[in-house]
Amino acid sequence: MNGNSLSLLRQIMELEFTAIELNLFLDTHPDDQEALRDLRMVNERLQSLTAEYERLRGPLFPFSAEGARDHWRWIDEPWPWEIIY
Amino acid sequence: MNGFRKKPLVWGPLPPAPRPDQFPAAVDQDTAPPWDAPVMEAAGTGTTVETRAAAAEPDAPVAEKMVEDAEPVVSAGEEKTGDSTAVEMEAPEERVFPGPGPYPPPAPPGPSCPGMELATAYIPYQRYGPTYSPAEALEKGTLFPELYRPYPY
Repeated sequence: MNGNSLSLLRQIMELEFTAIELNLFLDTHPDDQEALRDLRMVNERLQSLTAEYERLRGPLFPFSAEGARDHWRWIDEPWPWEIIY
Repeated sequence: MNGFRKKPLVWGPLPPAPRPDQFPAAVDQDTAPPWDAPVMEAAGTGTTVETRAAAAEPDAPVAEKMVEDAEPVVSAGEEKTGDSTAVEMEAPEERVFPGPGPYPPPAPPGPSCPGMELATAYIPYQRYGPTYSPAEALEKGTLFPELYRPYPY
Protein backbone atom coordinates (compact mmCIF):
# COMPACT_ATOMS: atom_id res chain seq x y z
CA MET A 1 0.00 0.00 0.00
CA ASN A 2 1.52 3.28 -1.06
CA GLY A 3 1.77 6.47 0.94
CA ASN A 4 -1.17 8.14 -0.75
CA SER A 5 -3.52 5.27 0.04
CA LEU A 6 -2.30 5.12 3.60
CA SER A 7 -2.84 8.84 4.00
CA LEU A 8 -6.35 8.48 2.59
CA LEU A 9 -7.10 5.60 4.93
CA ARG A 10 -5.84 7.58 7.88
CA GLN A 11 -8.04 10.55 6.98
CA ILE A 12 -11.03 8.24 6.63
CA MET A 13 -10.40 6.84 10.10
CA GLU A 14 -10.10 10.32 11.55
CA LEU A 15 -13.36 11.43 9.96
CA GLU A 16 -15.17 8.26 11.01
CA PHE A 17 -14.09 8.82 14.60
CA THR A 18 -15.23 12.43 14.43
CA ALA A 19 -18.59 11.33 13.02
CA ILE A 20 -19.04 8.85 15.87
CA GLU A 21 -18.21 11.52 18.44
CA LEU A 22 -20.74 13.88 16.90
CA ASN A 23 -23.23 11.02 16.72
CA LEU A 24 -22.88 10.47 20.48
CA PHE A 25 -23.15 14.19 21.23
CA LEU A 26 -26.27 14.51 19.10
CA ASP A 27 -27.88 11.58 20.89
CA THR A 28 -28.24 13.87 23.89
CA HIS A 29 -28.41 17.18 21.98
CA PRO A 30 -30.58 16.34 18.94
CA ASP A 31 -31.27 19.96 18.03
CA ASP A 32 -27.79 21.41 18.36
CA GLN A 33 -27.43 23.20 15.05
CA GLU A 34 -23.66 23.68 15.25
CA ALA A 35 -23.07 19.99 15.86
CA LEU A 36 -25.48 19.07 13.06
CA ARG A 37 -23.66 21.40 10.68
CA ASP A 38 -20.30 19.88 11.59
CA LEU A 39 -21.65 16.36 11.19
CA ARG A 40 -22.98 17.18 7.73
CA MET A 41 -19.56 18.55 6.80
CA VAL A 42 -17.82 15.45 8.14
CA ASN A 43 -20.21 13.12 6.34
CA GLU A 44 -19.69 14.87 2.99
CA ARG A 45 -15.94 14.75 3.34
CA LEU A 46 -16.07 11.13 4.50
CA GLN A 47 -18.13 10.03 1.52
CA SER A 48 -15.82 11.86 -0.84
CA LEU A 49 -12.67 10.30 0.62
CA THR A 50 -14.24 6.85 0.82
CA ALA A 51 -15.21 6.99 -2.84
CA GLU A 52 -11.73 8.12 -3.78
CA TYR A 53 -10.10 5.34 -1.75
CA GLU A 54 -12.37 2.67 -3.19
CA ARG A 55 -11.68 3.88 -6.70
CA LEU A 56 -7.94 3.57 -6.08
CA ARG A 57 -7.70 0.48 -3.87
CA GLY A 58 -10.98 -1.39 -3.78
CA PRO A 59 -13.95 -1.68 -1.46
CA LEU A 60 -13.73 -0.52 2.11
CA PHE A 61 -16.89 -2.44 2.96
CA PRO A 62 -18.06 -5.78 1.58
CA PHE A 63 -21.29 -4.18 0.44
CA SER A 64 -19.60 -1.40 -1.52
CA ALA A 65 -20.55 -1.15 -5.19
CA GLU A 66 -16.84 -1.14 -6.03
CA GLY A 67 -16.45 -4.70 -4.78
CA ALA A 68 -18.87 -6.53 -7.04
CA ARG A 69 -18.29 -5.45 -10.62
CA ASP A 70 -16.62 -8.24 -12.60
CA HIS A 71 -14.49 -9.64 -9.80
CA TRP A 72 -14.98 -9.97 -6.05
CA ARG A 73 -12.42 -7.39 -4.95
CA TRP A 74 -13.11 -7.64 -1.24
CA ILE A 75 -10.37 -10.27 -0.80
CA ASP A 76 -7.73 -8.47 -2.87
CA GLU A 77 -6.66 -5.87 -0.37
CA PRO A 78 -4.74 -6.51 2.84
CA TRP A 79 -6.84 -7.03 5.97
CA PRO A 80 -6.75 -4.17 8.47
CA TRP A 81 -4.29 -6.02 10.73
CA GLU A 82 -1.92 -6.52 7.84
CA ILE A 83 -1.56 -2.83 7.15
CA ILE A 84 1.50 -1.15 8.63
CA TYR A 85 0.72 2.48 9.27
CA MET B 1 -8.79 23.43 5.57
CA ASN B 2 -11.83 21.50 6.63
CA GLY B 3 -13.52 24.20 8.62
CA PHE B 4 -12.78 22.76 12.05
CA ARG B 5 -11.84 25.12 14.78
CA LYS B 6 -8.46 24.37 16.20
CA LYS B 7 -8.03 23.58 19.84
CA PRO B 8 -8.48 26.75 21.86
CA LEU B 9 -8.17 25.14 25.26
CA VAL B 10 -5.12 23.71 26.92
CA TRP B 11 -5.99 21.73 30.00
CA GLY B 12 -3.45 21.56 32.74
CA PRO B 13 -3.06 18.76 35.26
CA LEU B 14 -5.65 18.34 37.97
CA PRO B 15 -4.85 20.06 41.26
CA PRO B 16 -3.01 17.78 43.68
CA ALA B 17 -4.92 16.11 46.50
CA PRO B 18 -4.45 17.81 49.86
CA ARG B 19 -1.75 16.36 52.10
CA PRO B 20 -2.71 15.33 55.63
CA ASP B 21 -1.01 18.39 57.07
CA GLN B 22 -3.25 20.51 54.86
CA PHE B 23 -6.45 19.08 56.30
CA PRO B 24 -8.51 21.56 58.25
CA ALA B 25 -8.05 21.69 62.00
CA ALA B 26 -9.92 18.72 63.38
CA VAL B 27 -10.74 19.54 66.96
CA ASP B 28 -13.09 22.34 67.59
CA GLN B 29 -15.75 22.12 70.27
CA ASP B 30 -18.07 24.19 68.12
CA THR B 31 -17.90 21.65 65.29
CA ALA B 32 -17.65 18.51 67.43
CA PRO B 33 -19.54 15.42 66.22
CA PRO B 34 -23.10 15.08 67.48
CA TRP B 35 -22.57 11.89 69.46
CA ASP B 36 -21.58 12.16 73.11
CA ALA B 37 -18.20 10.59 72.81
CA PRO B 38 -15.68 11.47 75.52
CA VAL B 39 -12.69 13.41 74.30
CA MET B 40 -9.30 12.15 75.41
CA GLU B 41 -5.90 13.70 75.15
CA ALA B 42 -3.41 11.84 72.96
CA ALA B 43 -0.18 11.40 74.87
CA GLY B 44 2.57 13.77 73.96
CA THR B 45 0.82 15.31 71.00
CA GLY B 46 -1.47 17.84 72.52
CA THR B 47 -4.05 16.68 70.01
CA THR B 48 -7.44 15.61 71.25
CA VAL B 49 -8.79 12.42 69.79
CA GLU B 50 -12.27 10.98 70.05
CA THR B 51 -12.57 7.24 70.17
CA ARG B 52 -15.65 5.11 69.78
CA ALA B 53 -14.05 2.60 72.14
CA ALA B 54 -14.11 5.19 74.88
CA ALA B 55 -17.74 5.80 74.14
CA ALA B 56 -18.45 2.12 74.78
CA GLU B 57 -16.77 2.22 78.18
CA PRO B 58 -19.89 1.59 80.32
CA ASP B 59 -20.43 -1.79 78.62
CA ALA B 60 -16.85 -2.90 78.97
CA PRO B 61 -17.17 -4.97 82.22
CA VAL B 62 -20.06 -6.98 80.76
CA ALA B 63 -18.11 -7.65 77.61
CA GLU B 64 -15.10 -8.82 79.58
CA LYS B 65 -17.26 -11.19 81.63
CA MET B 66 -18.68 -12.70 78.46
CA VAL B 67 -15.19 -13.27 77.09
CA GLU B 68 -14.10 -15.00 80.33
CA ASP B 69 -17.09 -17.34 80.30
CA ALA B 70 -16.69 -18.31 76.70
CA GLU B 71 -15.21 -21.68 75.86
CA PRO B 72 -12.14 -21.76 73.66
CA VAL B 73 -13.17 -22.28 70.06
CA VAL B 74 -11.84 -25.37 68.35
CA SER B 75 -12.75 -25.86 64.74
CA ALA B 76 -13.91 -29.19 63.31
CA GLY B 77 -11.08 -31.63 62.65
CA GLU B 78 -8.75 -29.77 64.92
CA GLU B 79 -7.72 -31.32 68.22
CA LYS B 80 -6.36 -29.76 71.31
CA THR B 81 -3.00 -31.48 71.38
CA GLY B 82 -0.88 -28.93 73.10
CA ASP B 83 1.36 -29.07 70.07
CA SER B 84 4.45 -27.03 70.73
CA THR B 85 4.58 -25.98 67.09
CA ALA B 86 1.31 -24.10 67.34
CA VAL B 87 1.91 -20.42 67.07
CA GLU B 88 0.07 -18.31 69.53
CA MET B 89 -1.14 -15.10 68.05
CA GLU B 90 -0.64 -12.14 70.27
CA ALA B 91 -3.30 -9.55 70.25
CA PRO B 92 -1.96 -6.41 68.64
CA GLU B 93 -1.04 -3.73 71.05
CA GLU B 94 -3.77 -1.19 71.30
CA ARG B 95 -2.44 2.12 70.17
CA VAL B 96 -3.96 5.48 69.72
CA PHE B 97 -2.91 7.34 66.65
CA PRO B 98 -3.54 11.03 66.71
CA GLY B 99 -4.38 11.04 62.99
CA PRO B 100 -5.48 14.04 61.03
CA GLY B 101 -8.82 14.24 62.84
CA PRO B 102 -12.35 13.14 62.15
CA TYR B 103 -13.06 11.93 58.64
CA PRO B 104 -14.49 13.47 56.64
CA PRO B 105 -13.21 16.79 57.88
CA PRO B 106 -15.87 19.18 59.08
CA ALA B 107 -17.38 21.12 56.24
CA PRO B 108 -16.85 24.84 56.14
CA PRO B 109 -19.81 26.87 57.29
CA GLY B 110 -22.35 27.82 54.68
CA PRO B 111 -23.48 26.02 51.54
CA SER B 112 -20.55 24.84 49.42
CA CYS B 113 -22.62 24.53 46.23
CA PRO B 114 -25.51 26.97 46.40
CA GLY B 115 -28.72 25.59 45.00
CA MET B 116 -27.61 21.96 45.14
CA GLU B 117 -28.88 19.33 47.52
CA LEU B 118 -26.87 16.81 49.48
CA ALA B 119 -26.54 13.21 48.27
CA THR B 120 -27.56 14.06 44.74
CA ALA B 121 -25.32 13.38 41.76
CA TYR B 122 -24.99 16.03 39.07
CA ILE B 123 -23.77 15.79 35.51
CA PRO B 124 -23.36 19.22 33.98
CA TYR B 125 -24.97 19.54 30.58
CA GLN B 126 -22.37 19.58 27.83
CA ARG B 127 -22.37 22.57 25.53
CA TYR B 128 -21.12 22.34 21.98
CA GLY B 129 -18.00 24.44 21.82
CA PRO B 130 -14.61 24.34 20.21
CA THR B 131 -13.56 20.88 19.05
CA TYR B 132 -10.32 19.19 18.14
CA SER B 133 -9.45 18.60 14.52
CA PRO B 134 -10.31 15.06 13.31
CA ALA B 135 -6.64 14.05 13.40
CA GLU B 136 -6.17 15.35 16.93
CA ALA B 137 -9.47 13.83 18.05
CA LEU B 138 -8.43 10.37 16.87
CA GLU B 139 -5.09 10.82 18.61
CA LYS B 140 -6.59 11.96 21.90
CA GLY B 141 -9.61 9.67 21.90
CA THR B 142 -12.19 12.44 22.10
CA LEU B 143 -13.44 15.26 19.92
CA PHE B 144 -14.12 17.50 22.87
CA PRO B 145 -11.33 19.31 24.74
CA GLU B 146 -13.43 19.43 27.90
CA LEU B 147 -13.52 15.62 27.97
CA TYR B 148 -9.80 15.10 27.44
CA ARG B 149 -8.39 13.64 30.66
CA PRO B 150 -4.96 12.18 30.05
CA TYR B 151 -3.38 10.19 32.84
CA PRO B 152 -0.43 12.11 34.30
CA TYR B 153 2.27 9.63 33.35
